[in-house]
Amino acid sequence: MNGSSYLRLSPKSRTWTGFSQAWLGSDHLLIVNSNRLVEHYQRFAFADIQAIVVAEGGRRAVWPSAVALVCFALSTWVQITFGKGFFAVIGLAALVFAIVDIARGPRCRCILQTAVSGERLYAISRMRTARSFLTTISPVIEAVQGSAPAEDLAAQRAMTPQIATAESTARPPAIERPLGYTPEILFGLLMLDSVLVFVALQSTFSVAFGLLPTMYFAEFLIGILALVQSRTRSATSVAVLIAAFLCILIDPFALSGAAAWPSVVAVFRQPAAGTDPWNTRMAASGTAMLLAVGWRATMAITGLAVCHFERTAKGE
Amino acid sequence: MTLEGILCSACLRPLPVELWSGAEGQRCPFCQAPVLVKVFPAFAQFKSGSLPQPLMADVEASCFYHAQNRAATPCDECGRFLCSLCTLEISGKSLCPVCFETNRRGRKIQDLESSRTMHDSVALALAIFPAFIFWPILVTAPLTLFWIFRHWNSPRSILPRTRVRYYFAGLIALSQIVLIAVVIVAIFMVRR
Repeated sequence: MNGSSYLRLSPKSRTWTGFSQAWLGSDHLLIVNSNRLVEHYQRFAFADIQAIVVAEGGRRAVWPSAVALVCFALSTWVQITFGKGFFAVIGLAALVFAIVDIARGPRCRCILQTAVSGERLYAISRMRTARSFLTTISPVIEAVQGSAPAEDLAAQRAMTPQIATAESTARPPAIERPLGYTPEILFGLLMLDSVLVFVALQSTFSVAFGLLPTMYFAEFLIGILALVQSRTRSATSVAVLIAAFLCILIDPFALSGAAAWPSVVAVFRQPAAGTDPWNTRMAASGTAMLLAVGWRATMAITGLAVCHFERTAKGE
Repeated sequence: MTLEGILCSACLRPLPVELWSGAEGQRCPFCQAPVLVKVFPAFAQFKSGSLPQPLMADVEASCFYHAQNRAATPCDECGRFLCSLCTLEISGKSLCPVCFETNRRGRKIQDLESSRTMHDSVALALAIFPAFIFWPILVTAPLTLFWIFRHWNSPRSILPRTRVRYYFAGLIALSQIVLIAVVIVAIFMVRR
């Protein structure tokens, strides 16, 4: 176990995609939101926490109970044995869900308030958890901030200025984020693929079927990645990226696809006598091949040039 | 008495001061939801950031980023002089924005980390899910082992966490490799 300075404040509040949990740090409250593969951390310094508000929510056991009732009714009504079993299992699962939900107590919505935000704590989803959470964290926060009666706090708050009026034109220095290399990788791949497409469309079906799907998949994947990371890029780069991605999307159906699929269909419908269709050469037309190879080469050269100029302009 | 600020977490309307005591059994006057409210002294305190002081004489040290501002502190990482506008107090250190960003990117200060990849969970997912459609394990089983060796010493969660997922993922991946080997041998034996 790795050394950790955190103490658990709440059980995991699970959802379909992950969980949320509250932990007590030395000088802050840590909220962990996990999607199972990545944990995201939010820290709230004890000195910054202004209030914690918990409101009891409704019970959600009504729906599972209704589902359970309907399923049990259907299981008695249906004549087929499989249907009976199916509805009985679903009904039982819904019933267990409802019982567990009731046993865990009423739900709640918890909001942690600071001077600049009101953060919903999904980790605190039950009133029972909320009570133990407040019991643990309140003394810790009060040890840092001190304590005062609510009426005094309200009176003090009414007297303090609400908005800072300090005018300052100076700003902290801007931080330049370095440009990533994903677009260059994409355009480099397109350049390489232009050669591979040429080879694939000139060779046998077995070679083409080995190469083309892999290429499409790689281009599609890196294209998405490049688009996701294109926020810091110039408008020209983004425009070229979008154009390249559109071509990647269209290509398997119209460009290189137009070169490959008709000949595939023709050969597999009427294979030449005594020949294995997989070893038949692709009969792509010159225009289709020119289009499939041409757009990749053009996009690659344009994209690499745009990226180069963008880097030069930024002084990288 | 009602003040803007403490809002009911159910209906988001301001709660009256009488409900701020943290006592049980109180209800929001608007939505009637039972509420538990705990207000801390930070609510009544007004925190204002200190404004940078202008440079009064040529002999005074100025901020590296704002030549017109008087330096208040040096950066603990790069030593550049900083005005109060540029100083960031993190984990007992005074950092300039650039060093702050470098530390954040390099994950040098744990308190700055906003996310971590759980490589053990990735390895386990890589070992389990592809097995449902069988053939991807040809690739994913060795990849799982690679992932485990590659990330064995990578930072894990900042919370208590054991390496048990790595062990399970390794076991599953090894079993899959043995299975692949058995299938290949069986195919060769059948062909002969």
